[in-house]
Amino acid sequence: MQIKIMQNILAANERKANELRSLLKEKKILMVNLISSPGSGKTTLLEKTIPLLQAKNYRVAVIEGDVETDRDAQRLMAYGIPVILITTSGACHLESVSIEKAFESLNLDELDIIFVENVGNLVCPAEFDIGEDAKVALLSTPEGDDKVAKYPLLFQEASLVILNKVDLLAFIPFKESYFEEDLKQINPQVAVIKMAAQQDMGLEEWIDWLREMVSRKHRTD
Amino acid sequence: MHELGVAQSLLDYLEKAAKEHHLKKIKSVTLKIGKMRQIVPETLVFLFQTLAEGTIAEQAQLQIELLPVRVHCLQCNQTADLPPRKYSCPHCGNSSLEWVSGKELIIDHIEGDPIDAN
Ligand SMILES: Nc1nc2c(ncn2[C@@H]2O[C@H](COP(=O)(O)OP(=O)(O)OP(=O)(O)O)[C@@H](O)[C@H]2O)c(=O)[nH]1
Ligand SMILES: [Mg+2]
Ligand SMILES: [Zn+2]
Ligand SMILES: [Zn+2]
Repeated sequence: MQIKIMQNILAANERKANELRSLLKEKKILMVNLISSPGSGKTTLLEKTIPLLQAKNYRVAVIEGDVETDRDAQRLMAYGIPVILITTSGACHLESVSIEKAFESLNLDELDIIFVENVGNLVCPAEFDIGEDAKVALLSTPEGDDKVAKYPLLFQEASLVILNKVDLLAFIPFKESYFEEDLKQINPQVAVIKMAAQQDMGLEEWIDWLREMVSRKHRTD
Repeated sequence: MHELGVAQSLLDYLEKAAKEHHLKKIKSVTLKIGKMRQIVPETLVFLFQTLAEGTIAEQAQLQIELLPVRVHCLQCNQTADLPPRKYSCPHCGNSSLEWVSGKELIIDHIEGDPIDAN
């Protein structure tokens, strides 16, 4: 007996992701899915971002996907915000069920922005919708100027691309023009921010982008 | 290992589908996967077989059809398959493209034995 299916393999994940998306819409919370290779600077960026947002009275929480440890979560808890740790014990990405579970520990009536630090990896976090409003792809210059071309799916799905560690450009053979050309082909409209998170460079532009995203969330009814 | 998540999701789906369609055994599964997905078919098959041990899909044959990264150019109105790592029209160089295929991750059909068949 042959049965026609014609359905996305990840349909179950996507269904749940869409449920979360409606919930976030109702609660007017912006959820940002931060995706990068290990060590590109996701946690550093969050450490810099949180106090800047707190100063502007945004209520922020972080869902932290970590393969093994609670180190990143500890780093972020220092800012007095809710941090929900999801240890994936080896799995290389977060799925919408884990986010749904994390939501149980958050008070969604008292939040403006949820950041999800996805597991460090450029491939499957791009495949698995978690209900976010925006995927932010973070690439750091030491990883090389060919990563956009090598991992097209992520850079195509991203609403914003951050090029981090630009302070190192003087020391490494990263050609910004290659990066830019590939991006222009793969995702011509995408916003790009050049940043050195550790050195507080580019953070203003990033905060402006976030604020615009939050206000958009409040405008769409 | 990005195929692992896909293999697990596929198996979860098949177990549900087997119940729904009253199958006692799934014999084959045909997938359509776009090349943009960067799935290595052999890896997916291996992981699927490993995970499927002891389940209704234990003996299922995975057939994978890879779909090309195919675009329709909005400038010159032609359709073309893109070579790896190229995202502009091979005919005119324009990069305003519409996707025809390449991002699929689809279960096309399955074959199985119904519970009441002898
Ligand atoms: N030079 C330089 N180093 C940076 C910058 N941003 C972060 N780093 C360093 O990069 C290293 C990794 O940063 P993390 O923030 O832990 O990276 P991550 O993406 O959270 O890493 P995982 O969670 O392990 O995937 C740390 O040593 C940071 O200090 C930057 O702008 N310039
Ligand atoms: Mg981190
Ligand atoms: Zn994964
Ligand atoms: Zn053309």
